This record gives sequence, C-alpha cells and structure tokens, in this order.
Amino acid sequence: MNQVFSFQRYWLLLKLDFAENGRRNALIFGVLFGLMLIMMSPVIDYRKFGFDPIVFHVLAYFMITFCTSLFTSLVFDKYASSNTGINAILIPASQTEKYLAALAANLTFATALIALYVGMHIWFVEILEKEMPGIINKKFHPSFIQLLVYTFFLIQSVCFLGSIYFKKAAYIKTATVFFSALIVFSLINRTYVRNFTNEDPSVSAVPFGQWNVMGRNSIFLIEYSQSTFLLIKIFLVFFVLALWYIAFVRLKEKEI
Amino acid sequence: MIHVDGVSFGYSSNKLLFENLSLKLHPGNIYGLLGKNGAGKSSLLRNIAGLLYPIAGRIEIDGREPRKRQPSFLQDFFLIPEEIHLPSVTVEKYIETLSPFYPNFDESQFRKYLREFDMPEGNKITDLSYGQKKKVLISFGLATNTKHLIMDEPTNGLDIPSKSQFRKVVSSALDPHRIILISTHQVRDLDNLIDSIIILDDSKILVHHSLDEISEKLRFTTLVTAEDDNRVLYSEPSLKGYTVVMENWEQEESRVDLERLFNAVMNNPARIRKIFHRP
Repeated sequence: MNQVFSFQRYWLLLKLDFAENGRRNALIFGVLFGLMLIMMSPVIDYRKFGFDPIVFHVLAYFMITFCTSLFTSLVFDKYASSNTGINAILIPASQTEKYLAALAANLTFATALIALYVGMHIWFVEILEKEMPGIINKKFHPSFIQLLVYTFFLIQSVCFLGSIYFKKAAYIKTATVFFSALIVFSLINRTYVRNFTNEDPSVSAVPFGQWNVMGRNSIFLIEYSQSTFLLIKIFLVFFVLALWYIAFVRLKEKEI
Repeated sequence: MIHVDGVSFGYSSNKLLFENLSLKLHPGNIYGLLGKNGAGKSSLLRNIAGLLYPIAGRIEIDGREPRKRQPSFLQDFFLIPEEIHLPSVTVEKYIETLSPFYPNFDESQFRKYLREFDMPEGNKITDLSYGQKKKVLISFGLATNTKHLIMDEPTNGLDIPSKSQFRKVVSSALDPHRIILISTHQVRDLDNLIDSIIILDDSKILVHHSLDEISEKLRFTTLVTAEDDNRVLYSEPSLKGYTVVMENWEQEESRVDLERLFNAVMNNPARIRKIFHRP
C-alpha cells in the first residue's frame, strides 16, 4: 500500500470534507453572492446615483478578499481544534493527502468566488453599456483584473500558511505580518523608483505595478515591458506555490 | 500485539506522567485500563494512538510505529476519545463517507449494534443526545473490525441500561485477532467485560494481569471480622460483616470485584506488587 499518496484515499477525503463542510461552505458562498449582487448591481442604474457606483465593485472585491481570507485561515482548524483534532488526525490517510484535500477545498471555494466576482463585474458593466450606449467604459482594464486576481490568491496563500504557522490568533498574526511586509516592500519600492527618477515627487508606483508620472493636466503610465510583466507574474505564481509548500512543511513539522 | 517498551511521558520533562512503562497487549483480549483521575490513562492511550510521543522508550503495534500514522496502520486502528465529535450529517451519510476508509467495515454489524443500543434510525447526528452520539461512535468503531480498538472512558454519558448494552455489544465484538483496550475510572462499568486489567498509578503500572491470575492470587469474599486477619488487603463494612479483598492462600475461587480490587491496589501498592511477583 502506498503510504504517501493514493487517489482513492484522496477522493474519499474530498468526499468526506464535502459531506462535513459542503453545506456550510455553500451557505457562506450564497451569502457572499448575495452581498456581491447588492453591491455590484447598482452600476446598471448608473443615472440614479450622484457618484460612480463602480466604486462598489472595488469594495465588493475587498469584501470577498477579506471573507475568503477568514475562510482560508480556518482551513486547518479541524486538525488543531481539541474537539475535532483526534478524529481528523486519525482518519486513515497520509499527511500529504490531508494537506492536499484541505488545499483543494480551499482553492475550489476561492476560485469559484473570484471567478464569480469577475463574471459579475463584466456582466453588470455590459448590461450598463447596452442600456446606455456611448457611456464611458466602466469595465476594469484586463491588466487590473489580473492584478486583482493575483492579489486575491496571494492573500489567500498567505492566510493558508498563517493558519498552520501560528498556533493562536492565526488570522490577526497573519494580517500583522502581511501588512508589515507590504509596508516594508512598498517603502523599498518607493525608494527604488525615487532613485531612478532623481527624487521626482510627481512619480509614484506600487510594487509590481505601473509607474504613474503626474504632469500638470495629465497622468502618464509607464508600464513594464511584456516580458518583464510576464516574469513578475511567474514570480508571483512561484511565490504562491512556495507559500503552499512552506505550509506543507509546517504541517509535517507540527506532525499533524 | 501492542508493545509499550520502557516508555516515559510527561507534558513537561520535569514532571513525568509515567516513567519507564512497559506492557504487552495480546490479541483476543479485552483489557481494562484503570486509574484515578489524572493518573495518565488518556495520555497513555494517546501515546499508543500516536497522537502524543514518548519522551523515552518505544511503542510498536504489530511492528509499526504509531507516531508515523501511516494509512495502513490507521486502517487497522480505531480510537474512541473521551470527548467525541461527530459531523453534522445523518448516520447514513456518516457511514457512507467514513466507512470506506476502513476496509473491514461491516455495515450489517454497525446496524446490529445500533439496534442493540436502541438507537432511532435516520436521525441527523447533531439531533442526537451526547449518549446517543457516543453509541453511534462505539457502534462504528466496533464495526470497523480494526485489529486495535481503543476506547477512552466510553461509558461516560451512557445511562444505566446503555452501560449493560455496551458490555454486551463489546464482548460480542471480540475476535481472536483483535485487541480491545478500554480506559475508565468507572470501574463497575467493566464488570463481566474485561479479561485482563491494567492499573496505572503514580506514574507506574501497579497491576497488569488477567482476571484468572488475579482470582488465583486474591480472594474476594465477606468476613464477619477483618481486623486481625493479616491476609486482608482491603475491607469495607457491609450488612454481613466486612467485604474484603484478601490474599488467596487457600486457593479458593471467587469472582473478581473490580472496584474493590482497585481500592485494594490503591491502598496497598507495595504489598500488591509483592503478591503478584511472588513465584
């Protein structure tokens, strides 16, 4: 018998997870879908609002990112909780299978939610364009959508690692580490950009993003070349994979 | 066979729960693990299950190390913990999703045990009382037909009729290839069920013998007076005089009374050790 991985045991674990948590996950998904609908649909009736309701699409993104990160931070909870831990640990499956089952369940939820978000954004904006031909294009730029998706998965993978790395108050500790790292990284990036532009205050940039050069009446966007941008995307994918791998190593260290 | 060899364990290295503990458990037996609260019974079971790791010594179950928790080992091992948790699904869904992990699971046995426990059918597990949940888990554990079945305080939460049902069901589930180890501090719950006893106290095993060996060495009887009899290890007043546990010099047969045996062992650990180690 293979002690590390068997498709049959892995499939059984997925079925077990679905039986135990499927209903709860569907309920959370339903609530988030409802909230997204409430927040994102006003863009159709653009004229009623005194402001641009596309801002709610951005807020909806923050909402699903936050809620999914909470969901992700509980991914290994059944192994850590004193109530459920013994049963979960003693299920006849290997650590690898248990880890991959947790990852798959989490990724299914997160992917479905972000796909729904992107789909709803495009759908609502296309309805608006059909209703009001000639209106300024509200659809997010494809590269911005890519940025949202990458950031979403980056945050989920950080929370995935945090959920197994920290013993207590995992979510708070993960958030603290994440935001601290983000601030440090942004400061480094800012220093780097300023060095390039001789401390020109009209230039700003976010890590891995385009540089904004503010003129008197206009903003110039300096984008990375396609090959550099591809490298950045590859780096982010590897970074996410590395976080998942560290989570697996940590799981083994903790002998769960 | 479960082989615990020179195992020491403690939650801190300064204070050991048990030290240099050794025992061998053989298939075809139901062992009762007894001890006072805090004696380390649950910790010993968790060490055997590979949930906790010994500071020193080694545990082997049929030549495998529990701490590795390999799937092949876990398929043949079932632990019913003291605090149970069952998912919020129906009993049918529970067996449908969990039983495929155990190759020897027998659904007809499971249903038979549930009937013997007078369990209602088709209920969602969360709608069941704590005692009923425990019955589901005990029935499931027995029906997995794992070679090693360990129960930690299984009778906690069971009402009086259920305790006798428990004894009946567990004794019917024993086969020559199976080891059943039951830990409890409610000694009477194991009456007429176990065939060997392990008493753990003060970080050591005080008794690890079959009931036959115990009844050979000790006699459980009633005496009019117990004060001047130096054979007596433990006595308590009763309607007919004194119910006693005494050395069985005359080799008379008597039925082992677990509760009195436990009290006798707790009161005279040194003498008990001497009696059982006498050639």
